[in-house]
Amino acid sequence: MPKILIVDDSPVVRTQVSKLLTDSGFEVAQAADGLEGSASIRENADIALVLCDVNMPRQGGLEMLSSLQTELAERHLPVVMLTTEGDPQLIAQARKSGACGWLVKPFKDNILLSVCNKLTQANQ
Amino acid sequence: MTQGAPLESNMITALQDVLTDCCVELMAAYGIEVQAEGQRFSDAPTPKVAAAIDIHGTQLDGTVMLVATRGILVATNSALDGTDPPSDTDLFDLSLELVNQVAGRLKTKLRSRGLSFQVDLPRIISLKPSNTKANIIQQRLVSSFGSVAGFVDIALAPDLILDDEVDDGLPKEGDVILF
Repeated sequence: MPKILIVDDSPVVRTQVSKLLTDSGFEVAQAADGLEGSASIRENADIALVLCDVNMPRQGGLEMLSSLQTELAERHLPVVMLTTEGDPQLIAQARKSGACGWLVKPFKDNILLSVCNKLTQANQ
Repeated sequence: MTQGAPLESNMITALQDVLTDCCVELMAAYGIEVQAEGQRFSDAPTPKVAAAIDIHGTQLDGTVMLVATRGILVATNSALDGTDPPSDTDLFDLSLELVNQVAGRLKTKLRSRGLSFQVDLPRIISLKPSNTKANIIQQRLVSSFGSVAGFVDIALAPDLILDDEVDDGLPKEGDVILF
């Protein structure tokens, strides 16, 4: 099954999303901020989708996106921002930096799973 | 931003309503019914966890806080299928995420009324409310699990006016956009 990377500084969110995804058959990796996320993406060629928070310590999600923009495009690796933010400027910035989606927390399980299934299948 | 003037009473009411909506909707998202204090449920005095998140903009600057009893955090953790039983660390982490979500809701609702601000990272605090009552807005809500209180302690620009709420078509909680 595809591997999904969850990048979020909240252990609660990482646990919640991990459980949902593993119960649905996905393999899951976790990172606590953008720096860990970047390292995980570079070290794991089998990551099929990234779910990423925006506001994180050390490095936020949008900064992580910008730092990996070329690599993400080359790998066709989809990134969906998973955040409490609905700010249109941030959404536009994410889109410009290569994100392919934006999901506002708290999310509905079925919607998150639908997004993950759609984007990991499209990438196969 | 310079120190704001005391709020007009209609502004206090408007912001109170927004804060109340944020807290009620947040708890409802986890299946927890809450009501304004004084209605139906009563709350026994129990230790509380307080989390805060700073917000700042050109017209608004201050802190959003969420103070919750252990019972309500345990109930929320259960709704998330969290660790059972949750440790104190789990509950502190959860309260950080909840205040983050309250601030996010506040941001969405106030943006549709012409007010925007940035949100910092959340933190756990020891509760020490501001001494000045001029610009504190608080709403304490109780349920059968315990209580949760949202506080907004902010300085506002003296010429601030809240627009009527508009549907700006921007994503709300639970919405997804695929580019």
